[in-house]
Amino acid sequence: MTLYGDVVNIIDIIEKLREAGKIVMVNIDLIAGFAPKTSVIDYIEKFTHAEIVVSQRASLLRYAKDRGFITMHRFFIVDSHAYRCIGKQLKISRADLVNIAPGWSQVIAWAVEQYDINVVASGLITTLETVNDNLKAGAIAICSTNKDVWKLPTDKVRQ
Amino acid sequence: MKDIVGILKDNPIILSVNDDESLELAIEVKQKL
Repeated sequence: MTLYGDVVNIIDIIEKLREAGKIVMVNIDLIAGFAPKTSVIDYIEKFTHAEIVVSQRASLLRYAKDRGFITMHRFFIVDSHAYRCIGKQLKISRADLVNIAPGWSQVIAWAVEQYDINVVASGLITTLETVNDNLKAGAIAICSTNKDVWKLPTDKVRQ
Repeated sequence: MKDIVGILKDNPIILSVNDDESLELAIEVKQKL
């Protein structure tokens, strides 16, 4: 998943990942120079081969889904109010996946149980223990920028 | 959609890249996402 880039280099970043055989997720909220408009989705569709659009913006995700993208709705759960907003926002976005940050296993478990959705956990997940805590809580995957997490032995994950 | 969920379950650690250095490292890692 790309969490960086700008209007100049995002096409190259996505293409590099594609050439490496990756399924590319692009967080459109973090591309410098893009306004939060549907034209961003049109741009990604026309000029890249990204498969999954990630955003905190429900209406953009709905538009992306209608354009044929797989979508992942990102939520920062900082308090109970933020948690209660998930359902309302998902009704708008109808996202395929939900990304919940930070990776607090209790919140992941609540979300999986309450909303019956495929959850990807992220944020502050730095050890094998916290990876497995989130997966045991019901997350289907975790995403991380932490290279130590990338290197975790796959046979120890989901243990 | 079922495909992506299956792939995620098989590859439960998604590589997030936030700069050119991490992009190059991610390219070297044999992960689908």
